[in-house]
Amino acid sequence: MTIWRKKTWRTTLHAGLAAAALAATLTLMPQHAAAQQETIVFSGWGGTWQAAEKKYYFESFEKATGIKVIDVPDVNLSKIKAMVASGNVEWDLVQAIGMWVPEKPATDQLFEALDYSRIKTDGVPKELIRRNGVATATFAQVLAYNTDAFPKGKAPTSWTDFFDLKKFPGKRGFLNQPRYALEASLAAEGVAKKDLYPITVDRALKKWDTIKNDVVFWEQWPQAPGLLASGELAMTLSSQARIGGLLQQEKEAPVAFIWNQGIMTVDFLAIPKGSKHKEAAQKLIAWMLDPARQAEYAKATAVGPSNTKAFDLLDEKTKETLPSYHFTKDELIVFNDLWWSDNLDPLTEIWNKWKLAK
Amino acid sequence: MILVRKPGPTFRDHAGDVREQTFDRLLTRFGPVALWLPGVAFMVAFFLLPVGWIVAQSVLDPGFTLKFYERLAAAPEYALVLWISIKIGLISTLFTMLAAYPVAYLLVIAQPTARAIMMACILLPFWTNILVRCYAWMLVLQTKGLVNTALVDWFGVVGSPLPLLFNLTGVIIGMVHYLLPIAILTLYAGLKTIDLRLVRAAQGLGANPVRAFLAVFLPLSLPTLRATTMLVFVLSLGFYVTPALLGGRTEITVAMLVSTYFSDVLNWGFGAALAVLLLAVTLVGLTIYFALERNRTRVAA
Repeated sequence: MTIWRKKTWRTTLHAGLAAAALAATLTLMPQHAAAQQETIVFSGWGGTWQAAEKKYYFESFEKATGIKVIDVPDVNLSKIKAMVASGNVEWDLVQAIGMWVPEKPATDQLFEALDYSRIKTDGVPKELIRRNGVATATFAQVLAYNTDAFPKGKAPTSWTDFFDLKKFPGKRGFLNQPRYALEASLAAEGVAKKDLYPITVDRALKKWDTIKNDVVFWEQWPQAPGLLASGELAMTLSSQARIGGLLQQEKEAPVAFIWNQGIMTVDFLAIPKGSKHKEAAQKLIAWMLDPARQAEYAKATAVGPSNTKAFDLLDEKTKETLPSYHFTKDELIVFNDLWWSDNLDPLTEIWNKWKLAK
Repeated sequence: MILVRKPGPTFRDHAGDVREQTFDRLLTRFGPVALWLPGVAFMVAFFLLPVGWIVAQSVLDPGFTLKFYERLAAAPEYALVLWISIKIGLISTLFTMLAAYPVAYLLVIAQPTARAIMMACILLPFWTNILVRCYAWMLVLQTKGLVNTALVDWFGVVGSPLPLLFNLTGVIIGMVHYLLPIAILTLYAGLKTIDLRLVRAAQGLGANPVRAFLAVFLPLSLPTLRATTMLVFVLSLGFYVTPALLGGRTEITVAMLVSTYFSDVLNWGFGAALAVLLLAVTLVGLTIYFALERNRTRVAA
């Protein structure tokens, strides 16, 4: 027994030492590699959009600068907050929705201030250049519908039709969040685009009461196109680029969307506070603001450029697929992310209360 | 200290013997400690510290405050959400156990080959990502999905498609599917320790198979059944992906709100207060369960 025990003990000890040595080598190795080549980590939404970002931005950036870009999906503000709080910032550059980067002291805690002497922003609208972030892409959250349910000539044309179950019967779908929902119902009520904010919440929810039991509130954006194509939903909110993406994959999919009263949102690039590769990340931001690269990216994804100069490089047909073009035609509602960043917490509670009420 | 002492100037082998004896004595005395120490360290690192952190978050902003709990108490909707979570947990636990028990019983009495095949079938969904499973259920349960197509178009059992998705039914189906492998494996681990010869003895004494099962196997399995039920119920309280993806407007669970306030709203204090509420309810449930169990053992003794 003694011998057996001793042996096990020693073997365990040896194995432990070996494991520790291995662990030490593994932790040392990346640092060693980093000395030769700088690496930055980009976190975005994943999926086809990020694959295109890799293709049109990161690969050429790596060739030109020698800085390697590792891209990871599922960017999330609470992860950024946790990284910053623990001092272990793994992401050097993130794709942020506008609500994450309002010009507030709280934002300064989470994101680095950008050095605009190093980032060329010619062509990016002034209101899309913020202290902690600069716009990179534009989207439109639009009314999408099933073309079997509503054939040509009988298709919905506005949010008013979305809330009209008599003329347009069928299940509705919407994001399970108060944002966009309140804008859509007020637009349905005929509130003018410029008068939407500050949102009159009671009025907006009263409109939602009228279709309350005929809506599926989905949780994740990828859910919507599939549910629409299968006919489970007759109409739903979705992003114009997602519906476009589905039609690219399956030409026969019975889905379509309207630009009218689409809600335009903007994504920003931001550097989490305490990133060890701030300089390199700023270089990548500048790279991603380049009009020629944004034009190529827009062609591939139907995600709108943030740099207006990109439009000079696109033909009419491509332009029509992009949110910014329809914004200039005054078709879109501009989502006020600053208003929402102030009101998200109380409105989330109001939203859940509304959902639970009969 | 003795362990690291250099060999003395005395006879070398003797010194080695002394060292070995001392080592053995130390091992006998502290061996048990060494056995439970990793477990305790694990619990502290991965359970107590995070829970302590959550509790701290719920009462700090940045100084001590009870405002997050006041907010919880101020709106009756949070009590309603808690009730909905418990209700969803109870229903899914009931169906999970009803489905799991026969399967676990079959596993116990099955031949080794059959058991291996059954195990593979049970484990395969167990290893599948929860999001993938939810999206798969959406395809199966929707109006024009597999189930409704079969019921309406192929067999004509029902006139119009059943509402199986984006409501309580959808949530229960998704959750039972997730909980089943866990319940079956836990039950099986307990049931296989029951001596099947006792059942055979009962049959030998004239009981028919049903009676033998009801009078012998079932009572012997009750402790396992109770423990597994409790485990499944506690797990079911923490679901947020399944109710969020397969549920409807009113299927809101506490865990879903925790996720929302942590990830979307970034109000960690309120999210933590919600998490503590859920933890408190779970602990109350567990306390009642263990009190009852102890009573039962005492009565039995």
